[in-house]
Amino acid sequence: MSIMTNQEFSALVANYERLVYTVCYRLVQNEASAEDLTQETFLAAYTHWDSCPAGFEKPWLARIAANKAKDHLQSSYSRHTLLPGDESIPPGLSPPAEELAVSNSEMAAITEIIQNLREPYRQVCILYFLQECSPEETALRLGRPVKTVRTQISRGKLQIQEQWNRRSSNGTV
Amino acid sequence: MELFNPHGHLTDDALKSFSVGGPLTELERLEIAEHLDFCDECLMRSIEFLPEDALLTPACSCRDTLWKRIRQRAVRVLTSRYATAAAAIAIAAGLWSFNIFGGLVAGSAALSNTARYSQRQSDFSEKIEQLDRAVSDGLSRLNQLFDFGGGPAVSQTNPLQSQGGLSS
Repeated sequence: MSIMTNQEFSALVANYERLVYTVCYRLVQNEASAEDLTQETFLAAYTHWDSCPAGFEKPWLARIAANKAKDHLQSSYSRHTLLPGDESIPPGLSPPAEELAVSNSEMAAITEIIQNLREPYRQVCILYFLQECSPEETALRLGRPVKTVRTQISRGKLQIQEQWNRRSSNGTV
Repeated sequence: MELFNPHGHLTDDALKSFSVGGPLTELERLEIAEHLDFCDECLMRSIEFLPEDALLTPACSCRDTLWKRIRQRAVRVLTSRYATAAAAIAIAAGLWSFNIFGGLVAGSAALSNTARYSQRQSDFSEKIEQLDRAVSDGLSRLNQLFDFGGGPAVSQTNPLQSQGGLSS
């Protein structure tokens, strides 16, 4: 699909504006942001119309809307959440290597935490932390974008840390 | 509520909650958006969970301002292209008028034909200036073509033809 007239594009907007707005609103839960994202979605659709598979306008637009909402939520979420790995430890303040060594029992506890993580973090963390796959390999194996996998690794790390701290405070590790 | 099943796909409960605006945290909504961004299967299922009567209507339709933004973007892209081309032509003309290119062939037989060479140089400079004027005229005509003062929201011209390069 490569050529589209103004009338066709206007019809597309008229047909799917409510769907796109609903997807955006359900995800961002803010009317003004959802309206902005709806316009951004159609602007992107107009610019990249060539890549729309014929007959699949509806899911294609829904995907762009979800993508725009994702970017919006990511920037909003990262503004008030510091993910592990984002904070940098000055080299001189890093703990000595002997303190970083993990005992067998601790390793077993960490493995158990990872195995019990909820999706969408479990498979990603098993591949990345336990099977030592790179983010790119993990993304390839799971069919997810590398950027998403990296984000999920960071959030997975945060969840592992939280559960580890909980276990430590309970004295179960 | 479990958002994802053990295979990593969205559960029916998650999609139902998404479609009716159920209580989802910001992180859960972000996880759903990230998943819908790459998973075809869940994207199609999510659309099934959004029938016509479940769709919301925006208070302010984007149709009113969408074409204006498309035209603005097209003009910005074209202006940028022509500005780059005009700058390149101006630099080339400047170098030519300072005889920079002449210096490159100074040792050649061209030195013996100085008069003829100067004539060709001035002819070329004139052509460059004509080309520059033509580009500027074309650009100003293009700017006049797009009416920002508030024409109809939907233009009668085909933007894919008149705003070349945008659709690719």
